[in-house]
Amino acid sequence: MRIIPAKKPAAPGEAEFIPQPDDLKRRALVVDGDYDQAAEPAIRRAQKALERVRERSRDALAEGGARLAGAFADFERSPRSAGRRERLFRAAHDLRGLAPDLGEELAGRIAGSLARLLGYCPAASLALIRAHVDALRASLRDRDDPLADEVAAELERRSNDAIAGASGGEARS
Amino acid sequence: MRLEFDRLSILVAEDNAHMRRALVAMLEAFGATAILEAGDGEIALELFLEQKPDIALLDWEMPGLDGLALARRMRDRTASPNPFIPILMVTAYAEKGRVVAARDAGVSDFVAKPVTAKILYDKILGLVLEQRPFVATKDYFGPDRRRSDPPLYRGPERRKSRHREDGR
Repeated sequence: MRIIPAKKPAAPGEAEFIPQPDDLKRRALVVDGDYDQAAEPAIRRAQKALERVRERSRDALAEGGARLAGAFADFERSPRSAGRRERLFRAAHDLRGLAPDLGEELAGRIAGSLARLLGYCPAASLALIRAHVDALRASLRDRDDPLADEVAAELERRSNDAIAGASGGEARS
Repeated sequence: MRLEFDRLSILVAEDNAHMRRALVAMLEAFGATAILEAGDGEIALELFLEQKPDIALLDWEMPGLDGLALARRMRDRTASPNPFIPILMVTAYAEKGRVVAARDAGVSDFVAKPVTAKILYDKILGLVLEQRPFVATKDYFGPDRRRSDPPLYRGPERRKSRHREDGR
């Protein structure tokens, strides 16, 4: 009889390396041609499906802008309310993801700057928050404003300065 | 090389209705038929525990349980039905600190919004082809966070390692 010693359990501080199971590869990966040939039709179909979704979502941008304006009006009445701040953050965060997907890069940048400001800087000035909200409204209303890019850059700079100056703030975004 | 998406079940956790519809529409166009949709982290966790999907696409910021907390729950070896699940974080946040935090939670890969069909396809293909071993330490379970083995590196190894052969 041969005695097989039991495996020693990993000691504290040791890393254990475990190979990944390959069941997904075995189940779903097919090697039957080059990548471009095989994947291109699926990617083309998906891009068209994405365009259709974007077309149907045009109103979502206006709705997101209105939700942000409403959340800011509530927040302005009671800037110390954590719940109102959270709703404003969520509205800005939503626009940050939505706007670039619908071709509104600038609105996405401003919303991103606002979300970062609200997330990183608990004592952000109401004036700076308001400036973001106003610029967002303007960017969604007038898409050809020649100064819009400069305004977005300035807001991002001020946001970054405020975040850099904040200490002990809870990082959200 | 291609993926048969109809052989995979995919969880999409995204609170923004438009972004969720966009991801689902692309996955359906790829051929996926088993798609689980969740508008918040709690529902996503329920679906993960009950339906055991093969792949998870998680938004970072969601009400309730966010994507990061969800990834940690999925990687919890003591309670998760599939701690090896490939996790793709779909996020508008590309800051370095965020990337590091997500990797530390066991996220497999990232895709930044806005997402194109080609990027999504390539990312999911990458998850299935993934070769990196998983690492288990006292504080972490997830894909090896070191992306490469620099051949010229001559410094000390930070980890004392013990490789397992049985895939568990």
